[in-house]
Amino acid sequence: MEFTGAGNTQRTGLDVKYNREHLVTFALVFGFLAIWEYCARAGKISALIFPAPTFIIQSFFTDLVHGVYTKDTLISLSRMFTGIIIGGGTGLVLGLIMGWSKPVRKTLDPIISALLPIPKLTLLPMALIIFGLGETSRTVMVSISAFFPMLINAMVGVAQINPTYYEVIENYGASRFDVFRKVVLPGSLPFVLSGCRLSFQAALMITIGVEMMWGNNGLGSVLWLAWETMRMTNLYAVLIIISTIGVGFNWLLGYLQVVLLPWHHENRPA
Amino acid sequence: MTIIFNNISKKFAKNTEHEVEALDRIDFTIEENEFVAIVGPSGCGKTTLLRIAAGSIKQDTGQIIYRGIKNPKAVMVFQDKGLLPWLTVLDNICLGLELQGIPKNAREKRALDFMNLVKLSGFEKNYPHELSGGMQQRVALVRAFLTNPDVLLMDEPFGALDAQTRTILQEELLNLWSRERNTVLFVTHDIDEAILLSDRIIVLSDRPGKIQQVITVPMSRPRDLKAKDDPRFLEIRSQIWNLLEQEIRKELDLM
Repeated sequence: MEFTGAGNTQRTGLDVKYNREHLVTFALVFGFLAIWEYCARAGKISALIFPAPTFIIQSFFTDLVHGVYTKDTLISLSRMFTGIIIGGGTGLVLGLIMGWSKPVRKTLDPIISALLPIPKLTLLPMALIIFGLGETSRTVMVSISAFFPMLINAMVGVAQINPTYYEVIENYGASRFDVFRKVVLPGSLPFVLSGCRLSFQAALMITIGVEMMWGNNGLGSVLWLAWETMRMTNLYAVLIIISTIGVGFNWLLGYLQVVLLPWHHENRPA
Repeated sequence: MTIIFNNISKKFAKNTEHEVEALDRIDFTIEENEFVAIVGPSGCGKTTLLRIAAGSIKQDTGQIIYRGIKNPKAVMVFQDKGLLPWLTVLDNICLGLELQGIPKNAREKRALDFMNLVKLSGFEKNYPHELSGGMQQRVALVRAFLTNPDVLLMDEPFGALDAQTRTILQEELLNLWSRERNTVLFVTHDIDEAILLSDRIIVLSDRPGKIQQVITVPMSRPRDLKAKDDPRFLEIRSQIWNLLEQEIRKELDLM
């Protein structure tokens, strides 16, 4: 039997193929910005609300090099990641346990199902009453938002592992810990990484949302202040920063997925 | 060492009123270094018997006695999904040795020697999904033999393969086995496969699985695929087929 086709193919996931579709994408975006630019300069739309893109970008970079947004960006990022670590970490541990142990899953599932659909932002008043007007309330809010997606994904990730894999490894005399590190952890990893992505998105949303509603620092509060004072370039600048954080983290997770899951079908060459 | 299956019965309860009897008082003995095949109609409890032997499910009555050995090691080869998809071929092959606590260098050396023997060299770093079904089962066989178990339990290891690949792997298993001479209990629904590979064949009846007959294969070893042309081969085949045909017809008529 010859199996020459199964050699080691190195995939980094970093090389994006620029094909015809991507050119069309670029043309669409560029065309939209060009029309916007023209309309703003020709006075067809209010330059107060929709300043020309070149003007937005120019003032964005000027502000950026002067460090106008540095402090608030760092505050928002640290809030977000504190929440992801606390909430996502708890969700991960609890999710793996719930996925692994049917009794635990059956016990906790109704509670999780009941709490899951609550829009997390609605918990802010409760958080403020219980944890006071300090940083704790914000951390709790972000943690709660990061907790659920991680929990659900870790749980499903373990529960979907083919039972034969457990039988295989137990047949070779594996201990509980062996089963955990050889089957439960790697088998659920694809779902855990999706959980990271969703946790991150939820944490980013709640961080900005909480900052917009209450407090005087962080990107959300800068955004809200920009709206209240009608400084539209600042508003756009904050939107650009938030989008960059979102896109950057997604890219990082996509990269991790390729590096950590070379065996997984989503990373196989078509 | 002999393995004695003593009066093994097993029922599966779907609910309290509806029980499915899978195995009914199975009694037989496997001698050391013997290759025993179990054939029977589908659903006759062949796999259940193997899983009881592997210790992954518990029988209702009876016991399995390993005479002349303490802490017997029974290793299972599955039809598919036996390789962990997140481990490379080498790591999969080493898995059994790793769990036995054999140091990395030693186990990898043994694995590589063995891989060389069955022409798996060069695939160490591949993942299972990059291999064909036949190659995957080869890896599974190597892994099982490498741990040198007291008994190898094979659950239709070639059942999911196409006929040509299956034939090749049967021959490889013959070679591997004549080198290693482990005791094997081999479940299959392929009569030819059972005759070609084994010393004795246990023919089970339809549900509940009961031993109909135990047939000794007289052909000498070492065997190869030419054994299929032996008149004794054809004789045993028709003998087994006669036993199974009624069972299978009975099942089809019921359905």
